[in-house]
Amino acid sequence: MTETVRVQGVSKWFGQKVAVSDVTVDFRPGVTGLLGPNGAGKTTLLRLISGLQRPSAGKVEVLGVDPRDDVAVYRRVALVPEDEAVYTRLTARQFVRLAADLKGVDDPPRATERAIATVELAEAADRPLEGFSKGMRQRAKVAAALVSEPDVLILDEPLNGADPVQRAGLIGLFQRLGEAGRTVIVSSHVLAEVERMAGRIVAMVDGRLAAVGSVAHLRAAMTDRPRLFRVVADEPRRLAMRLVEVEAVTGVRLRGDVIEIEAEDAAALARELPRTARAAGVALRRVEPTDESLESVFRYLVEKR
Amino acid sequence: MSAFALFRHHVRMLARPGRLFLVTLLAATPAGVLLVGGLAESSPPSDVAGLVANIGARTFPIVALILASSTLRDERDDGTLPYLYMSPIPRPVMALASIAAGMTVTALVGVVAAAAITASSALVGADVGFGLAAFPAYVVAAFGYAPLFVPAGYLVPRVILVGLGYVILWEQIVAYLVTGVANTSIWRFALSVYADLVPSGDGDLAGALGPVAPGAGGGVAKVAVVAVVGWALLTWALRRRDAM
Repeated sequence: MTETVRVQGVSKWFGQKVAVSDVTVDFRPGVTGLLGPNGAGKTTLLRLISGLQRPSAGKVEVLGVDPRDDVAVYRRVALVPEDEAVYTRLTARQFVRLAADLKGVDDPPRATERAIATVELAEAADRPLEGFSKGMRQRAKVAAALVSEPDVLILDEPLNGADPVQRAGLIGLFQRLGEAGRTVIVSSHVLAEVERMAGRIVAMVDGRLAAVGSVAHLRAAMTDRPRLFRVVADEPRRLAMRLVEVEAVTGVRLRGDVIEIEAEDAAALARELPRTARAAGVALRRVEPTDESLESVFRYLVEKR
Repeated sequence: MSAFALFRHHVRMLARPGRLFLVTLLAATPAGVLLVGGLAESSPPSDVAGLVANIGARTFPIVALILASSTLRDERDDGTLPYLYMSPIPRPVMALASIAAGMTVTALVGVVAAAAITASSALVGADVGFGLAAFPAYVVAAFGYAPLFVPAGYLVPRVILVGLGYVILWEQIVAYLVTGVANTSIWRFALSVYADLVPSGDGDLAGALGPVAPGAGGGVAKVAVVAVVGWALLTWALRRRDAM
């Protein structure tokens, strides 16, 4: 499949801070989820792809050109920025019309109405954006991006602030755009959200690429890693001694009254732990994972590469 | 079409009613002082030109700074710059549209200020020529300051502070004290147009002008050079600098 966006060895630093480090990745028609915890470098990567920022090193090509050198490509590329930034004094219709005029689309009034209808904002289109909820502003921004029917659509956390119904609507819209052959790049820090709309995932952490591939590929990579759990029990020392013999457990540490367990198979541990505690005559008070955050998952993937 | 849309958008954003009202009030200060002073005297004032030159020097550059520097700074601060930046408008044209918008709104405020001076002159019995000469002078000032302050708003953090430094320290103190520096003062370029067109000058006007020779053609030419330099600078910045 043809790559529409090519990022080659791209780094971006601001003074001493490295925001994106040596990232090489391609994007193709269809929906790609750009996944990573907050501060992973997703927004910076999207700004680099959009041409809003110049790479400190490396090269970005969108539809075969560097957008900073050939601005004509912006007729075919649109961005929905992360911030709530919109022109609050404008109505939604004026805002979308401005985007149509700036993009130089053929029939701005018709394109404006079509984009507003696509995001189902027609009823509120003549209200100032100032009074819009966050979710409605997101839809207005998506309409402004869609007004030029871009081949490459870049969306930075587009579901932030949207209610469940709005989310479902936007996810369906992105999927349809992807199926229609457009390159849709959607960033998010919520795995479940990305999983619903993207067939392919690009995962980032600490400015570096953590994983690229299908959701199944990423899930498999995530389940390979040992998981850490913290257990609080009535008699921790006795339980810790019994846990050493459990097959699912790969490591046990006692820190004060808290047992830290390392296990490769979380499901097996979930089965074995209550059984072992019962056999030892120990009451479990609390069992919690210590590193289930997306950030720790991705950090593990980066370390593994 | 896209470039005109950008120009129209900038003008619309700059013309926020509250801000526009306040800067127009500031720009019209010479007219107010002329009116109050003139009505208090029994004979028509003889120092209208000097009054316009000196009070105008303290007010209109600040008006230009507030308006022109906002053209791109507001977009940057509000996070709306990507909507403009990601349009297929060549950067030299984008720079031109932005500067032209800054010029237009600043010049419109200048025209209102000049109209107020003309009206005040008539009301206090002074020659309305003092007011009429202010029209081209204020427009030239607007056309000189906008190419300086529009790029500054995009490039310089705390541009109002830095701009005030230029307007107050450089134009009014350094350029006044150091003869050679007078030719870097945009206000004096405008004033040379004013001095060329007023019915009669006075000592205050000559003092404000310093070593810069009165002459509409010279003033316009110098402002044109500033405009070209400002446009080139903004084009470079839009091409080379990060937009966010």
